[in-house]
Amino acid sequence: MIKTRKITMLAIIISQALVLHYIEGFIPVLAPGAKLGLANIMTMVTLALFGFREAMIVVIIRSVLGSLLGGSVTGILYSLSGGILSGLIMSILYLNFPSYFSLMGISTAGAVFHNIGQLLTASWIFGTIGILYTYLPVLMLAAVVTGYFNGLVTRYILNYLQSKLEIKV
Amino acid sequence: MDTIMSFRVYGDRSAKKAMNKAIDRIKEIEKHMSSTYEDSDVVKINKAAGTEPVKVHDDTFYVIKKALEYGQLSDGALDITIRPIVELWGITSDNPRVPSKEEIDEKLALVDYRKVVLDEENKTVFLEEKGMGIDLGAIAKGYAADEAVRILREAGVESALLNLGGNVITIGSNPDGRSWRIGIQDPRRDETGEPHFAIVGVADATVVSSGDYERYIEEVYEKTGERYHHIFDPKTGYPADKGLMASTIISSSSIDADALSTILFIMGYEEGFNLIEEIGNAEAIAVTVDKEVYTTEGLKNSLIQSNDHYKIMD
Amino acid sequence: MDKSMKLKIGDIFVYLFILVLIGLSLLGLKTMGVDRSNTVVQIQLDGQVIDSFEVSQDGEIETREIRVDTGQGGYNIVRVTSQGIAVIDANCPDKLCVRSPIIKVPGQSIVCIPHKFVVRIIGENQGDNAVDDTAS
Repeated sequence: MIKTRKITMLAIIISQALVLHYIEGFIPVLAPGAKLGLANIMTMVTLALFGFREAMIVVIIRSVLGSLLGGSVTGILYSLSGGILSGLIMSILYLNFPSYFSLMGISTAGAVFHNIGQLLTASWIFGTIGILYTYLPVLMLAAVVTGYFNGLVTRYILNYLQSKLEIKV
Repeated sequence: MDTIMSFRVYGDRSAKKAMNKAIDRIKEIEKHMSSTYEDSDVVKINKAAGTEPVKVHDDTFYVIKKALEYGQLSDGALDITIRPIVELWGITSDNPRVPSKEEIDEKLALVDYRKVVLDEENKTVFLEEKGMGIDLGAIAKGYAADEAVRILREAGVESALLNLGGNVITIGSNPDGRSWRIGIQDPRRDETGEPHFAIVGVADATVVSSGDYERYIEEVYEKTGERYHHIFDPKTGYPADKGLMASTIISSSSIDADALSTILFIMGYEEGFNLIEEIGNAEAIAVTVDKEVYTTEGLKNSLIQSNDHYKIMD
Repeated sequence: MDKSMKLKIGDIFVYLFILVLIGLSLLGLKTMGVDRSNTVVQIQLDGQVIDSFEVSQDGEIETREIRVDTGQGGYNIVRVTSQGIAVIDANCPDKLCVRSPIIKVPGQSIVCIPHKFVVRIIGENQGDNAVDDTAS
């Protein structure tokens, strides 16, 4: 893919991720700092289209910009920890074991680690590991639902890109 | 007031509702009697000093009236018109300082509870001279506490322990059957490391402590060891120095406990105890700067000493 | 990339992993509970404290049994476990102390009136100076 096209696409992806991040801010949180992780849809899309490096770049830029635009500095910590951890896991699964997992499974794994990352950050900030134990069960269940949803959306996006815009996935 | 409150109320759902109602009432009282909140009755009265009477809420009127009564009973030891002195020392601000005698004498002329004019019919309050100001800090918390207790009792609460900014108020006894065990703060807690010097068992009573340890000018204290604290003697314009570090009152009326603990501190324990025993509805504890603890008759042998830096005198 | 939306074997692992995590968290929650280190147990006979000891060493609560001879042939046996403190045997006439529920929290006590025996749990640094609140 030519460079300009790649940069443009990444820019669009990041802005989509920012919008998702912003919207999910309106959904009430189940645990301190924990968000659903809808923006991970974009992480997955980037992973599918480009690869590990680009996906991590998208995650980092999205986390930093998203939190700053949202007006919260501690938010950066939560977003980054959740995003990076989930990005890493999703990359490992997608790139190394693609045939064993469906997109939904990978997204779910990503959502799970996204929440784990956020809970670890919260535990560290509040100074007590109890936060992890208390909120993990609830967030895990949320992760299953979000993960499945994210996977579905990613699937549709990739199908669309492939068929309409002839982008190879 | 900006105080930290804690509520331990035992009961059922109606108790919870009552507790919330009590909290709302306390906030309402705070709004009316705050010295800083722009719309408060107190601020309005102070702004109109020397100019015109100000109509106030019924509760503010009641508290001011009670405070003036205490002013008379204590012969001016409790004087709510102390505000100009409080402001001069800046003790509630970020820049407290020791003013000169001239500055103090100038403001002292504005301190006189007898120059507060109340109109019972129209519920107005008028400060006769420009520059005068009232401060209800010594008594408003007590009133708020009594109101909270009233609301809780009306809802049928039989056991509760409230803490309003350090004032401990109890309803009934501890649900396990014993009276509530209330510690009296060690006035030199920072030095001794102990939280309290004595424990007293109470039921249906309020315990209020005042002392030179609550607010004082730290810079001066660190340099010279002298404590310029926030309980000003309305007669001298300087922090009260009748030899006490702390005073505690136990009474079933919180407004009385609040007012009397300030009065006791300012008057010293000999005169203070006389006045309290005359009024009759309170017991008192006084701690001198020599770490001696004196109590009124009713408390003799009822204090449990909890640290040995202090000597409880007979 | 596989375009189907079928459940794959890896997905099942993910879900199992989630269940394991949930299980571990619940377990973690159970063992946390009340911090029992530095909790002191006091035994009194006739108003006098005759024994006072800490319940745990290094966070581990040692199980032990203590037989207290209360005078004139009387005795009460106290057992300390991680579940709490209980009187498991006594030769008093009513054995109310034995039937009392296990105590776990500072402030609680088990009393044997015939033997004038009390075993209670005290928070650290408090002893008889426990207060419900402090006037400041």
